[in-house]
Amino acid sequence: MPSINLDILTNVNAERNNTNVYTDLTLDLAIGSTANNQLYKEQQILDIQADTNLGAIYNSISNIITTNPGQKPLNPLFGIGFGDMLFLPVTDSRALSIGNAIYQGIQRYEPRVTILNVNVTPDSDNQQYIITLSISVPRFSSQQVTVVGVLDKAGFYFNN
Amino acid sequence: MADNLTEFKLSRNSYATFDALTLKQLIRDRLTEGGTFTDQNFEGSNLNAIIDVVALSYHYLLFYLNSTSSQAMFNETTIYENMNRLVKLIGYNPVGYKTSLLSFEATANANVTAGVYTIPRYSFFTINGIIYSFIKDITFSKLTNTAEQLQNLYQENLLYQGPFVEYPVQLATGEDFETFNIVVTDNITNTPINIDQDSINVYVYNTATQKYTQFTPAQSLFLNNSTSPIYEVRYNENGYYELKFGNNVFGQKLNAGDQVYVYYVQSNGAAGIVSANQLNNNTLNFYNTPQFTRIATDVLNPLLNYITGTEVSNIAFSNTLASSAPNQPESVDDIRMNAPKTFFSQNRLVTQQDFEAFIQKNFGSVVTSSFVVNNNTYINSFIKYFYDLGITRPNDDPRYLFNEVNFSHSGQDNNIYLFLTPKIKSVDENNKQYFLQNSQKNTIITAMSDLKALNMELVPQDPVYQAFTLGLTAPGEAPTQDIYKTTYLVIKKTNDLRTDINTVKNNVNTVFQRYFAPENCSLNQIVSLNRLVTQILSIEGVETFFMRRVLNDGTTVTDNGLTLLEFNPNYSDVDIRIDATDVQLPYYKFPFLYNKTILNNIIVE
Repeated sequence: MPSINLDILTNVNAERNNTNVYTDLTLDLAIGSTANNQLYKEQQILDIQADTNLGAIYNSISNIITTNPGQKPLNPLFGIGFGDMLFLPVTDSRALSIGNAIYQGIQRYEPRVTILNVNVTPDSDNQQYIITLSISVPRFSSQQVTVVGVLDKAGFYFNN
Repeated sequence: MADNLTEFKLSRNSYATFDALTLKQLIRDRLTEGGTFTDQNFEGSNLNAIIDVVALSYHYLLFYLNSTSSQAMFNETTIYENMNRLVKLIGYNPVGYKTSLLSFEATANANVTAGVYTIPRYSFFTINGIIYSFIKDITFSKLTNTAEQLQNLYQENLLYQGPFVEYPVQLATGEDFETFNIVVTDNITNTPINIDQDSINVYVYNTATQKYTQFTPAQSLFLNNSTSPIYEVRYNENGYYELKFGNNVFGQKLNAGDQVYVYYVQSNGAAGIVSANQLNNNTLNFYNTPQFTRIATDVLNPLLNYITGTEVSNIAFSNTLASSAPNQPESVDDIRMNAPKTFFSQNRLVTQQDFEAFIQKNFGSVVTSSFVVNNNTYINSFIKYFYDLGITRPNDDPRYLFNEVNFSHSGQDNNIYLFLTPKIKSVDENNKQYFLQNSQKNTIITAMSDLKALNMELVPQDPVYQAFTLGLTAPGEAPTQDIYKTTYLVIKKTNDLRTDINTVKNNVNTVFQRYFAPENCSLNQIVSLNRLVTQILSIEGVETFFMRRVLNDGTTVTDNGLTLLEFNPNYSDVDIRIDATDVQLPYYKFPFLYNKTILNNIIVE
C-alpha cells in the first residue's frame, strides 16, 4: 500500500513534562512555552499554549455549561439547555432548576470529576446567578476543589 | 509509537471516503498516539470542539468534492448544463425543441394548369388561430389540366406549427468562428421560448457586395471548405441556439459589419396541436414582411415559378390525421443514451444501430419504434413471411406494394429497409391500422441522405401489426379469430376483498392496456406472458386466475395459465396461434391489444 511520509508529525515532545495528566488547548489560540531540552536552544520549538490538569477540567465544565444542545455538530446532545431561563427574571426557583441542570450535565459529560455540591445563588440586582461548584478529581487523589463562577445571559465565567 | 506518526497509513483514495465522525475519530486517535494532548477524548474540551469543527468542515468539503466530481462524469451528471458541456467535447449537439408536425393532402382543381410550381418559403395556414408554416420553398408539379391530387406536394412535405419570426438583426464583428446566440425568452417566466430547431434560417447581408446570401446549417464547420456559406447550430447549456460561423478556412467567415438575419418558427407548444380535418378549406397565406421582401430578391431562385395567390386559391388543402405532439429538447438521460451512439456512428449511417439511433434522436416525435435491416435479412424473413402466408407475390399485400411503389428502386441489393411505427397513432379501438405518411417517410429519408453511404438506398416499410387478446382452444381445435369472444379470464378474488368487483376487472384490464400501449411496445419485442401474469397477481383482491372458454355445445375448457390469441388481422386465417409462453416477435411485427380492451372478457368469481 502506498504511504505518505509526513515528517512534520514527528513527535518533538518526547521529553515533555510527565506531570501533565490532562492537556487541552487554551482558547484563544496562542504560542506558549517550549517543550524541548533547554541545552539545545537552537533547536527550540515554540508550542501552542495549553491548559493542563485542573485548567483542562475547567475548560470542559465551562464548555458544558455554555453549550446548548445542538450547537456541537457531531454530538448534538452535548451541553445544557437552559432554555429562556437566563433571559427571564432571576428567581430562586430558576436557580434551583439551573443547579439541577448543571449537576446532570457535568455528571454526564465530565467523567473526570465527582460533583460534591452545586450551589446556585440568584443575584437579582445584577440579573445573574453565582455558581459555586464543589468537585473532587479522583485522578488527583480525589483532590477537592471549589470553583465559583457567574452565569448570566452573556455566558459563564469562572471567578478564580 | 511515535514513529508511526510519520507513516500516513491510508490508501490513496481513502481521503474521499471520510465522513465527519470517522475523521474525528482518526484525529483523536492520532492525537492520542502523539501523546501531547489528552483532552481530545473528552467531549467538553476545547480541543474536542475544534476537532468537531475541522472534521465537519472536511466532511462538507468532501461532500462537495464528491458531488462536483460526479457532476463532471458523463455517467453520473444530473445537471443539464454540465451534460450539455460534457458532450460538446465529443462534438455532440443536443437536440433542441421540435414543434408539432402536420401531414396534409392537397388537390388542385382544373383552374390550375399543368406545370411546375413553387410555394414560397414560410407560407402559412391559420387554423383557428394556430399557424402552420412551410419551412422551405416547396416545388411540385401538376401533370394534367384537370383536377388532380398533388401527390408530390403532400407526400414529400410537412407543415411546422408556429409562425416564422424575425430575430433582431445582428452585426458581425469579423472575428474567426463568430458566434451568435438566439436568446428569446418568455417575458413572464423568463424561460427560453420554444424555437423549432429545424426551422432556423440564416441570411447574411454582405456590406461589400451588398447582397443577401442564405447560409445553411452544417454538421460541422470542419467538414466544409473555406467558401461554404454555412454555420453550425448548437442547442447550448442555457437552452438557447448558438450559431457559429467559419474562419475562411473551415466555412466562410463573416466580415466586419455584415448583417445577420435569423428566421425561426416559434412554437405554441402543446396548444398548437390540431386534430384531423381542421386544415380543410383553409387558405394558404404568403409570408410577407418588408425585411423578408428585401432578402427574397436576392435569395429566391428566379428560375422557379412561384405560385400566385390566384393559383393557390384553387388548391384545396386538408388533413386526415392530427398533428404530432411537440418534442421537448433532449433531457440529460436522453443525451446520456444518444450521445455515445452518435459518437460511435461519427455522423455516418452505417450500422443498424446508427440508423436506429438517428431516428430515435431526430424523429422521436414521429416514430415510436424502428428497426433497420439489409436486403438479405429482409428477403430471408419479411418476404419469406409473405410466402409462408401463402402470398406468392408479396406485391399482393397492399402495404408492401405501397412502399415498394413509392420508395423502392430497380436494384434491391443495396436496399436498407427501415421499419417505422408511427407515434401519433398506430392502431385505434376499431382495430384500424395507421402508418407513417409518405411526407413523414420522405422527411426521414431526406434527413439521412447526406449521412448514409453513397450506395445505400433507403426504403421505409410499414410494420405488420400483430393483434393480441385472450384466447383458448379445446384440445385438437385450430384457433380462429372469433374464439376471443368466448374466452374469459376468470379471476378468483381473495376472501378479504374490500374493493368492488368492477375495480378489480378494470385493474386487470388496465394491466393489458398498459402492457400493449404503443409507447410501451416496440418492433422485435418479446411479449412476456410471465410479466402479465405477475402484474395480474399483484393486483389487490386477485387470489389467482384461470382461462375459461365456453364452446358452442355449452361445454367449457379451462387452463390454469394465461393463454393469448395472437394473429395478424389482415391474414388471420393463416397467421394465427395460441401463446402460452413468452413470444419473441420478428422485427417487422408490432404488437397491439385487439379492440384495445379485454374488459368484457374478465370474470371475477
